[in-house]
Amino acid sequence: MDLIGAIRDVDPGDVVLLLSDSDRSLTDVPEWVEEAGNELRAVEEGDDHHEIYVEKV
Amino acid sequence: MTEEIVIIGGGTGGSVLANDLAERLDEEIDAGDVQVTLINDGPDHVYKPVWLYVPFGKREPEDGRRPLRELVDNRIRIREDRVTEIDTDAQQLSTAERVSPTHYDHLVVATGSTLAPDEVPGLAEGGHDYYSEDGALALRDELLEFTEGHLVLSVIGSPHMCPAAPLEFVFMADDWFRKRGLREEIEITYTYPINRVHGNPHIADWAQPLMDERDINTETFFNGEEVDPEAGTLTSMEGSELDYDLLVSIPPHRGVELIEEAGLGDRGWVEVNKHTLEAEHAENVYALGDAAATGVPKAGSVAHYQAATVGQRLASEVRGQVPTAAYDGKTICFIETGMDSASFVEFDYQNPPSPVTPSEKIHWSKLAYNESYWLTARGLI
Repeated sequence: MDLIGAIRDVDPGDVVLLLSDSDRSLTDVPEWVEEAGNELRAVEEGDDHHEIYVEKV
Repeated sequence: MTEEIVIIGGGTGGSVLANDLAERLDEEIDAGDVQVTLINDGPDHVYKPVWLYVPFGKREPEDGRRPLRELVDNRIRIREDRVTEIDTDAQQLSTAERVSPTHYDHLVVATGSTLAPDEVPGLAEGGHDYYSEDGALALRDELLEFTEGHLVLSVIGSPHMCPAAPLEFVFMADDWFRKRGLREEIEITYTYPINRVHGNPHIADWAQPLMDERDINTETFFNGEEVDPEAGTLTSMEGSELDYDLLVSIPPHRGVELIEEAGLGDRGWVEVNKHTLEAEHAENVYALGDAAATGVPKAGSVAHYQAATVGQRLASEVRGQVPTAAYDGKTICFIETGMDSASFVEFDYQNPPSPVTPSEKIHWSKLAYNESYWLTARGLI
């Protein structure tokens, strides 16, 4: 949800890095990114938190 | 020298904390060793949950307002003023009413949420809300006139205050129209930003069947991007479009501007350690309630519990002890499921919510709590 707010604020071509400690983000975020037509740049899973890079198209 | 604790904001978090400190540090305050000042930009404390009931004619905005001075212990200095700048290096505040800056040894930012409908073109003109006094009153006028057509409740802001309130609104509207014999003529659609009807999957799994039972349409993956008030359409970032006759939205939210200007966090939300509530980008600064970016809901219960954590930590610091109190993510929330039934959830960082079966008893518990809230603001419960 926070990611969507951040995507609203940036320009096309900008990449937003989401830090999330919820495993749910690993499925929710790629699903939304595809639905909204944005680009998933990278997903780095970690023990403490995951890092998900999304480019606004 | 007197140690200065300054709280910015007299909402739930600021008021509960002020009263908590008055009790915890009573001896130090009476001896003149500590002074606690609460700065608020108006004379009143506002209890926002009342607004949900205003559009349905069940409450008035005045039911959610009381003078801060009646709620906050006399040991606390209350200043009606507006903070215009926080200088975290010099540990001082600039304010609208005073030329000289205000020094602090410990600062607590409790500045809450504001609405930013202008971030979505057409929303301010085309949409209604119940997240403000004026909005709730204007929506009441619309709802009373509304006898047929398409009511769209769109969650646009994320994060937003009281994550349960959008569900509550459509459940209440469904029941309200049904009882008045109008439901057949009114279509209700609920939109949500992600692929389920609530951010928390446990609450979403509980709410979806209730919405299906009541013929409340749901549109997920829907992030309102533009409203055309003349055409009566709402379009989403995902490319879909909805026609509406009455649009009720949860508008985008922001914190106050001075937070970003002070380098404490983006969009007015202070970056904090989610357990200690200490600001990540400044010394001797805490944030709580909506202003603190902890990932838990922006809700009164959160501010209430966080105030106890910050109160204990500040008392330890004043006494030269190591602060050990930590916030565990505790959140409680009543969820109205109609005009006379409600559910209840309780969760924290470790334990997910599990909504209880809705009942009339819980509905009355919610209304009873809304009245006894004034004891919470006074630090009594």
